Amino acid sequence: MLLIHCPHCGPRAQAEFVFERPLESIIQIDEALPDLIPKLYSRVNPKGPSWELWRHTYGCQSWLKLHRDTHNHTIHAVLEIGQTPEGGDA
Amino acid sequence: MIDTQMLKRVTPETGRLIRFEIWSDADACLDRLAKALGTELPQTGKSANAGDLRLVWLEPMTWLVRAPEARGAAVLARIEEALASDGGACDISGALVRTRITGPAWRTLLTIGGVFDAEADTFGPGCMAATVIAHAPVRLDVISKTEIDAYTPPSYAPDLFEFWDHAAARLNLQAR
Amino acid sequence: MSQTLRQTKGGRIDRSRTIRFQFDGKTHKGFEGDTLASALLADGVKLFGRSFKYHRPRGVMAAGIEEPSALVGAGTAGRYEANTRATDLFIYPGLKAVSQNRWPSLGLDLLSGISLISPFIPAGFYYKTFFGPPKLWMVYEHFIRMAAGLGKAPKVADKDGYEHRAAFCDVLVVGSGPAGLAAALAASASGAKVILAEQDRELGGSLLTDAATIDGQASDEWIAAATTSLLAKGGRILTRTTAAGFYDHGLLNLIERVTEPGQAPGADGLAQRLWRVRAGQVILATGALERPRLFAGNDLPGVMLSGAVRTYLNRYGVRTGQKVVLTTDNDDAYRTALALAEAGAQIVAILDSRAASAAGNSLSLRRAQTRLPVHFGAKLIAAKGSAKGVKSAKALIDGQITNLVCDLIAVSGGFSPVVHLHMQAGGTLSWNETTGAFSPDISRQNQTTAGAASGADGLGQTLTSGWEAGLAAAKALGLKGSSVKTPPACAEADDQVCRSLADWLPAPQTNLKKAFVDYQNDVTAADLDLAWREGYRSVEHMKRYTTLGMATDQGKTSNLVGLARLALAEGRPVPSVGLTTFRPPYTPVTLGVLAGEHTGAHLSPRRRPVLYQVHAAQKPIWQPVGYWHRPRAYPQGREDLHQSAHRESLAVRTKVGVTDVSTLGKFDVVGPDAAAFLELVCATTVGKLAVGRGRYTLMLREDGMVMDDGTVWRVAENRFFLTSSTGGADRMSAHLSYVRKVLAPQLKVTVANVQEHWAAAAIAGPLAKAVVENLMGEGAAPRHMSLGFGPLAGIPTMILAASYSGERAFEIYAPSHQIGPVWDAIVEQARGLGGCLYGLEALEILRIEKGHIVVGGEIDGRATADDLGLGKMLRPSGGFVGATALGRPAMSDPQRLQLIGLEAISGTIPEGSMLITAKGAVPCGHVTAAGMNVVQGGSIALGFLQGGRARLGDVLTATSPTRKQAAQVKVVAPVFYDLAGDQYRD
Repeated sequence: MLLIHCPHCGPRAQAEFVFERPLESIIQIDEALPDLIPKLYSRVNPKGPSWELWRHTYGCQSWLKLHRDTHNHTIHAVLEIGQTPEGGDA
Repeated sequence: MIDTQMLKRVTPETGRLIRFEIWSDADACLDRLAKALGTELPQTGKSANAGDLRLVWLEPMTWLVRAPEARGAAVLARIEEALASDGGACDISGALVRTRITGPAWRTLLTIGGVFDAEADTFGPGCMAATVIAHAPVRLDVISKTEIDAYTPPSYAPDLFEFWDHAAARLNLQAR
Repeated sequence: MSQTLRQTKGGRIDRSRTIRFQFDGKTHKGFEGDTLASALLADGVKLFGRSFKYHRPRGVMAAGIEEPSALVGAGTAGRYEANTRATDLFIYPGLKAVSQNRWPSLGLDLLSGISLISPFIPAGFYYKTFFGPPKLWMVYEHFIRMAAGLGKAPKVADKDGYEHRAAFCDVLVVGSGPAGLAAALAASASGAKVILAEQDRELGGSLLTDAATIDGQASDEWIAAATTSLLAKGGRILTRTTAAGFYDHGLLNLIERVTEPGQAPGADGLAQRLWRVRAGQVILATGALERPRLFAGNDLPGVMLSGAVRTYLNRYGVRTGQKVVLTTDNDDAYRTALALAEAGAQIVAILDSRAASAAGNSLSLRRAQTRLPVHFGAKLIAAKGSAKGVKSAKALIDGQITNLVCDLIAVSGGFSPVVHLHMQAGGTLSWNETTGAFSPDISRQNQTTAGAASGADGLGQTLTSGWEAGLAAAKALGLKGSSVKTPPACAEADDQVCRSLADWLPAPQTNLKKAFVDYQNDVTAADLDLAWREGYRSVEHMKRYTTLGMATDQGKTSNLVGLARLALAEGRPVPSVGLTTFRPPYTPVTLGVLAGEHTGAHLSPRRRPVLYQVHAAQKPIWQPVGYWHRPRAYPQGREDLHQSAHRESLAVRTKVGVTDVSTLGKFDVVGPDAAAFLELVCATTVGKLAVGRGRYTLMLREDGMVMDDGTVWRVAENRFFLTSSTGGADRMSAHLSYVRKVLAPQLKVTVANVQEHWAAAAIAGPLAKAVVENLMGEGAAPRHMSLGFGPLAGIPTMILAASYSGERAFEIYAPSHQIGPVWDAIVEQARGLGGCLYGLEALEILRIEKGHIVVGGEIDGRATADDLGLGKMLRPSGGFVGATALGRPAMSDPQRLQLIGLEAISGTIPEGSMLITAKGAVPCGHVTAAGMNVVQGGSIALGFLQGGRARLGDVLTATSPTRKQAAQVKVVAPVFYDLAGDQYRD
């Protein structure tokens, strides 16, 4: 069970979170059709660090971006949905 | 001794639960709310008293206010006025059941069936934490060294409270 | 004649507390502190079990959890624990243990006749049986199944209690031998919050067998002082607690035995506890396990691991033999020899496979050489004996074959550090060719190994390594160092280095077919050689073909011996051959402790509507809807489900019915951008609603399929009330949050999940309006798709005029903690007018008749709004989730499955049946919901049909071949009742 450092709640067990989707699969409401199809049905499945969208469903309910290594579960970063890795706001 | 006591929901003492969220101009809005409620809103992961009100942080820019039933409507109105166009409020009194667990071993009790470190020294009075215990979503609000409030939706409450009663009975026997 | 082999003094057992227990129906006596193995050995019992395949007689080989042969069943009924190691069970009053895998009895096991055909059943024979005729295989497979196997699983439920607990610490120390205690002390003194886990019932590890002097104290006093010190600093010490698995980010599962196997729990009802421990740093002081050696008959009762022999003597006061032969590759066995000699046993020979020049220099070896027969460069060829034990041994001494009369053979083939948890945590190993041992190399988590588990040799090194690990762990956590700088030190005489020199080659005369490697799965050295000859040469193939290491002991005494054999055959060094994967749990775990409290009715959460008890008083038939429990029907008298549902739906059509709709998804959406937000989520218009008005709406998925449906109401200019299905409520809540926070964070709106804040009663039927007006006054009933407010039974309520059943209907909403009097008043009123309660079954019948779709039925994730006949409802301007995806060409293919109605021409339309044009044709559609004309009778259904809207009037067959049901049906529009909607308009 992973330990995820929620920016609001601190380190919490994975059981409080839900993995939602890879970050790159997020589809905007007005996404153009050619971009929509690969986002719906194609997945890159990298062995290594990748960005994912998670939700702290049983905690503060916020939407979080995790930079997780799919090979060894190292979590390099946990950001609020609006944050950029450099610490600013997206 | 651990004593699990449910807040009855059909009596006037149940209290009003109000949820509100700020969506713009946070600093100014927080100021107005502080004036309206008589105290600064608690920060992330914290709770506080404001007279006969209990303020509990829930989510980023979202708080819970527990008010005596008799003052419920007035408090809601005051909050909505302070929020103005920078936020919204809603009565959610029926959405959560509050139970109060008293006794110094509440910390150990909450580690049973859970994944949260309720035994941490840093989790003290004026702290809140949302987590999951025995499949039920729970929001914890530490009142004092020997008292903690737990909020859970009424659909989960009967099983969760039964679970806690059994665990508490075992803890009393083991006197850990 | 009991306890014949018990020493009169010595050992840690309490001779003042006798415990009676049973083994195979016979009563024995032991002492407090005995394991089942030590108590039975003291009583002269030699035979403990029969081996898995050959039914060979087996005794006890070890003294700890690694025991492969002495497996028993302990306890009775649901508490019975099969395959319990007799060495890992501390006796208690009332213990009932039985041997396994023998018939009719342990002493007379007729199945041991199998050994006569053993040449035909080597490892891998089972796969070869597949080459014969299948019918024949079914015959002998039955007998193979009956003959093989160890324990039998109980057939009765386990009623004991199991608890799950979370714990957090700075440093978790696994193992309380000298290294573990030193580590815990160092970490604790540095200010770390420590948890110490020990699988034995006492702390001390190897010190319980080999007492020592540490820091001037007797080891017992040193252990007691350490315990006091750790507890005083707030540490947690758990005994009878095994670290079963090392997972990610410093999480370990510890299994605590609150009761012994088969023992009834105390007043708290607890049998075991699962600790989920999250540690900042983990120190593994798990020790090392002794290895057996290869010689024929090395599995006979009376062949034991040398360290175990010493443990039985020193810890349990049991002398397991009188005439002893020892075979060893290290100095440790000499300690056993000296202890036995001092206890009055005769040492027949010590066969040391090392050359004299390569032997160690320990105190024990030097002492033994002066008084005991020691032979260097010597090996055992075979042990001879029977179920009654060892009688003699054939040895190779100075190149001569010698016969030695003995009744105990103590074996030491070196020591394997216990690296399992280190490996589960993703670590790597390094190989020591001299000692023939793997020890931890790189750690990938915050963990380190100390003591014998890291390859330390001798008590001094062990203490130091533990101490340093504890200091390092505290330092890594940023804690201040300990004020005590020097590690605990032992007396020189206690610091004995064992200097193993691994020698994997058996004596050349050894009959390898009787030289066992994996005792539990009956795998011999010959089996491994056979597998290699047949081409199973990778370690993974070797393991699975021979089943080496696959039994309940997971190869603790056999994996490395097998690996070395494979390396020998390959002509390669051991590490290059590879290792199989280490998987949790470290020792077997009972399923009950994994389940914890979540069994029976608590398997998954039970969500109850607030009116649950009120419904329960009516004794309804309950329906699980996701985690919710909702009334399906309220049978009166002897009614069955169908009769009840028909009566209830008839009441709704002709008078009035009341149903609980409290579980619907409900959301309060407020803010200047509330309408804009809802128009992202809902595919219909929302913003055009006037205050006080509502409408039916659809929510789509990103791929354009309908996800859920519901209603949306404008309560105030900037406030909306959204409802959606019960089953999809949690999903809708997450979806709304996703749109709000991820897709459109700039909107000024807040969404509150008020599913449980509001409870609601739906009143439906021609008399519904009368019910409302009787309770709330004339004019209180809003017109269709309007909302109103007003008190009912003194409670402020919200009324939504919406109909799912097709009759005039009103949903009365009140805060859930206040719904009681509201419900009671409504039900009383309805009954007074000749109406009744109705449940989900009746609701289903009513909505089918009206052609109202439902999530999970027609909304099955593959249907678009247009498929459902609701295409015109969509907002032409788009801009909602799923809008773009609808632009795909396939989404408007006229041959798509489209919603249609079906009327039975003959027969009753079966639920879930397929639609075909003719017998044998490919199905062109399916039935989603079968129902009936409530008032007129007659079988109807809703379903999907390819290009259905263009096929109205077609005659098809609805068939369910697996249930042998079919009906002839006519395709019609999907509505069977009140097409114009006159019933619910004023």
